[in-house]
Amino acid sequence: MNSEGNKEQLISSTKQSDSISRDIYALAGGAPPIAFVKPTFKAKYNTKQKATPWIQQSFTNPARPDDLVLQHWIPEHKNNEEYTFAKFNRVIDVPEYTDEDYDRYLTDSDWSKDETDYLFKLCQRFDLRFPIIEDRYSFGEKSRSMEDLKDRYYSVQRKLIKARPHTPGEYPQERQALIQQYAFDKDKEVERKEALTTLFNRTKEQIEQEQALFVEARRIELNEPRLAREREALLNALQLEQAQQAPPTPLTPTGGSSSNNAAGANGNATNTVAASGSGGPGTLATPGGIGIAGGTPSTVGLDNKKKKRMEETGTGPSSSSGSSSANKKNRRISNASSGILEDVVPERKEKMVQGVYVRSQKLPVVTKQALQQKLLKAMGELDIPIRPMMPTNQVVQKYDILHHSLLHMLELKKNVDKMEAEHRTKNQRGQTARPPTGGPRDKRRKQG
Amino acid sequence: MASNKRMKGVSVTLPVYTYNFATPLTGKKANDSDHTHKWTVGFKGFHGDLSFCIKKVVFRLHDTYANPVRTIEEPPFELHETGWGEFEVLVKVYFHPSANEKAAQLYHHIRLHPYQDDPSGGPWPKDKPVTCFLYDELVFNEPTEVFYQILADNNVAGSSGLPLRKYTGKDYALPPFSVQMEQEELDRLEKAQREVNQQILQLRQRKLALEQEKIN
Repeated sequence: MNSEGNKEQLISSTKQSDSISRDIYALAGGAPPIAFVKPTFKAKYNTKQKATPWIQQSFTNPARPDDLVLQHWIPEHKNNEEYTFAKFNRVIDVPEYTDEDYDRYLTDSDWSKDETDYLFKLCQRFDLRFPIIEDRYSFGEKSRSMEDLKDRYYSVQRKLIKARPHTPGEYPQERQALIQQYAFDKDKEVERKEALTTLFNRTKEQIEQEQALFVEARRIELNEPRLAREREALLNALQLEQAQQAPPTPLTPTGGSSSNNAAGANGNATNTVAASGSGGPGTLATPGGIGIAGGTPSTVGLDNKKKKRMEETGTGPSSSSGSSSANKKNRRISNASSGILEDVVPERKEKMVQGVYVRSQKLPVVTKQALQQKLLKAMGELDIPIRPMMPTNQVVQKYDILHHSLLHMLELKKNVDKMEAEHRTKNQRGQTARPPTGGPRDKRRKQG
Repeated sequence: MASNKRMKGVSVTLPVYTYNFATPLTGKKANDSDHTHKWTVGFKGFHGDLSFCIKKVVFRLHDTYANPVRTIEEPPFELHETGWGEFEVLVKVYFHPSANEKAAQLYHHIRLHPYQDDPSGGPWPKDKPVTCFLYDELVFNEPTEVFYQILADNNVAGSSGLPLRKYTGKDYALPPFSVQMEQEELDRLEKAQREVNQQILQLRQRKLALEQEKIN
C-alpha cells in the first residue's frame, strides 16, 4: 500500500519536475516499454481556404495518329497545357524513299524491294531497335542476322544521302560528314561480335593464364633497358678481350705481357725490360693495353675464357698444375718467355677503377700473420725492402709478381717439407737400410 | 659547370714525394724543453709547383700539437714546426675541383734522428739536417676531360719529370729519385725474382722425386 502510494507520488512528481533520474524511476517499477503512439496532433482543418476547382476535360494525345478524344480531370489552372505524356513520344526519322528512288539507287542483288520495304517498315515500327527488329524479322524463309539488317539499312542511308540534290549553300564536307556517320563495316562488326562472345565465354583458367602472362610481359618490359645495357657491356668487353688476345707487340708494356717476360731466366728479360723502359714511366696507358673498362659482371666469365686458353697453349710442366690451382689467377703466355713458370705468375686483371689512388697503397698485402712473417723474412734475405723506394708502375708490378712467387715458393716448401717428414717416418718405421732421399736438407735460401 | 665526362681507359700518373728535414735545436731552451728539433714537412712533385692540379694540402699532425690540422693552400706545400718526437703525419692532397676526385691520403713518418752514418764516414754532424724522402705516385684513373687537359698542358701526361741521374750533390733539399734509381730498383727486383724462380724449380724437382719415392 505504501509502495503504491509512493509510486503515485513519484509519478506525479515526474509530471511536475521532470528531474528524476531514469534508474530511480526504474526502481519504482519503471516506465512501460516504448510504444509508438500516433501523434495526436492533427492540423485543424483550414476552412478558410477556398477549394481549388477541378474540371473534367476532354483532350487529344498529339502522339496518337488518330483523333481519339479522351477525358480527364485536371486542375483548372493547368487547362490548355499540352498533354503531359505526349513529350515521351520520340520518333526516329527513318528515311522514306519513293519507288523511283529505289530503282535508281537502291537496288541490291541480295535484297528484293519487298524485303527492303519490309525492313524499313520494321525499323520505323520498332524505332531502329535492331535487337527487336532482328527478333521479329520474318520475311519468307530467309533468316537475316543483325549485321545483315544493319548493313542493309546503313547502306541505303548512305546511298540516299549521296543521291539527294545539293541544297543551296551546302558544303561538300557536310555531306561527307553525314555519310561518315553512317559508316558500317559488316565484316568488322561480325568479327567484333565474335571476339566479344569469346571474351565473355572464357573459362576461369584462361582468365588466370592471361593475367599471369600480362604480369610477365610487364616485368620484362621494365627490365628491358637494364638487360639491354648489360648485353651491350658484355659485347663490348668481349670485343676488347678479343683485341687483347692479338699477339702482343713490343710496345704494349702496360699489358701483362712484358711483366711475364720477367719470368724468363735469361737475356730475354733484360731486353723486354729495356723495351718497356723506352715506353717511359708515367706514360699514358693505351686503351687496348689496359683492357676491360667497366662491365664487372662479365669479368668472371672472361676469367674462365682466359683459363681455357691457358690450357690450350700451355707447355708448362704438368706436375705444377696442382700447385698452380692454388693460385686463382692464370698467366698469360707471351711468346718470348721460356715456358718455365707460366702458370705461377699472376695475370694482370686490368680492371680500371675510376678515381685517384696512391700507388704505394696498392702493394700486395698478406692477411695471415704467420705467413706475413715468413714472407718478410724471405724478402729480407733477398735484400728487398718491404716498401719499394720508388713505387713506379713497373716497380709495383714487379713487386706484385715477386710477392706471388714468394708465396708460391713458401707453399711449395711447406709441402715438400711435409712430404719429406712423412717419408722419413715411413722409412724409420719400415726399418729399411735405405738412406733418406734428397740429401741433407739445406735451406737454399741464401745465395752466396 | 664543367662537364664531368671521363676519359675511358686512360690513366695518368703523377709522381710526387713527401719529405721532411730536421735540425736539432741548440740553445738553452732546447735542453729541457719538448722542442729538441726544428723540422719541416712538405709535399712536392717533379713538374713545377703542382699548383695547377692541387688546390691545397692538409697536414694532420700528432694530436699533441695545438690545431693539428694545418692547411697549406699555396706552394710550397710545406710546414715548419718544432718538436721532440717522430710521428706519422697524414698528408691529405686536395685536387683541383675540375678533377671531381676525392682527396688522396699519404703518410709521412717524420725523421728527426739520423739512423745511419754520414756518407763521409763518422757520426752525423750536428748541423747537417736529417732528410727523409718518400716517393710515391698518384694515379688518376679515367680522369675528367678538363682535368686531363690541365695535366697534359703541364707535361704530366708525357714524361715523369724525373731526373735521369741520381743527385749526389750538396743540396740536401733535392730528393734522390731518378730514372737511374728506378732502374736500380727494377734490377734488384729482377734479381730477386730470378732467385725465387730458381728455388721454386728446385723445390718442384724435389717434390717430384719424393712423389716418385712414394710410389715405389
